[in-house]
Amino acid sequence: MTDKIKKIIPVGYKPEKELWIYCSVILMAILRSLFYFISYYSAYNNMFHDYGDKMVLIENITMVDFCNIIADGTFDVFKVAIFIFLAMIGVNYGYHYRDSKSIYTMRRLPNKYELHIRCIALPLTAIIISIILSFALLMVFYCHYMTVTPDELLLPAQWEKLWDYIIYGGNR
Amino acid sequence: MIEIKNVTKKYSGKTALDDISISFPRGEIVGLFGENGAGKTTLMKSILGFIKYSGEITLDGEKITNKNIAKISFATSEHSFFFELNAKGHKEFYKSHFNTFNEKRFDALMDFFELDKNKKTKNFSTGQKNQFEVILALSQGADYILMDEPFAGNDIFNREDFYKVLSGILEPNETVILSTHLIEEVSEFIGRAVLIHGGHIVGDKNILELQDEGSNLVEYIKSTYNYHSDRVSKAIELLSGEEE
Repeated sequence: MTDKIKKIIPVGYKPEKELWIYCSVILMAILRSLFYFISYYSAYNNMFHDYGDKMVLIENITMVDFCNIIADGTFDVFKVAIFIFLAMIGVNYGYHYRDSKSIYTMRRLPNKYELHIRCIALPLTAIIISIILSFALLMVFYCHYMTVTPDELLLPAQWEKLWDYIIYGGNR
Repeated sequence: MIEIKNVTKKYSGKTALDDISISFPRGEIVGLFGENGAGKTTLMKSILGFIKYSGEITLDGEKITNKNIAKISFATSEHSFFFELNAKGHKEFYKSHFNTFNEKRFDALMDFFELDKNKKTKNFSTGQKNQFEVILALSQGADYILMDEPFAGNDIFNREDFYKVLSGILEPNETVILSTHLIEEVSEFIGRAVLIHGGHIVGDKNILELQDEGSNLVEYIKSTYNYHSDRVSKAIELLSGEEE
């Protein structure tokens, strides 16, 4: 594994350290997204009057839309992660100009793509993984929302509202 | 042969190379001389394709691309190795990218200069960094070895060692183009002197020819650049006259 990683990171970088950085950022993004459950159960509990020994559903109340729950920063760390990975591309290119001009060696290599592979491949992979993971988590949360929320408390068109939120950011 | 035809390079209006034409056949050791900003580095960077220029540069009759770039190696005082990597790592990297990498030469030179193969190159002294830079250029297995001020920061004994080693290990078909200010030191080592001034080639002479003419490299360079040996005494005279 580390031998494969070694081929797609700038020469001299430690694969273990790179993996640790990228995995930590992604892990933090995953952990932050799990706060969805706190947001969800907070919204869920807000539909009830709490009388200590019993909870009574407020009359005519409905559950907050799914898109409003995830709007509470659920995927913000994923956005930050993608920004960090984009910045890593710049850092990787910058490495070849720092202290020595290893850019001269990279530009003299028979494989003209070597420099770009080593600067872009890992951050790009991390970006793709982040997008896939965030989408997978979004689906898991959506399924949870639709399954756990009683039908009579659900507002209609959750799926359409979600896509509106994804595409227009809730500004439409 | 590296053939340079009508090469011009301008940096934001300033001409660094002005319609230069010159060729470097195989097997020559060429000294490239000129004041700072004369165009020596620009010429080397143009050959390597690091900068854009107008004109034509060919390598053994072909345009220089990634397909034949491995025939050229480069040692620079700016250093082109990876400072986070040790010498051993460099060896592996060069072996995997340059089919002609000369492992035997690399090991021999590392031993000769007593460089630690397991030490990160950023922890080398300036002199060691220069040595390592040249070792890589010599070991790549290139036919043309370009060196741009490779010994800046090395002491005299170290440099002399290098010239001796270099003379001893070079194959007859290897070409060295050496840009340096250390004229007297390299005069015994080079076979041809090329002088650049203001982006023009102002001199190109075979060292044997110079010797036949009863001259030497230093004299040749001074005469080409119109160096007036009495300029220092004149300046001192003028200054001391002012003080009085």
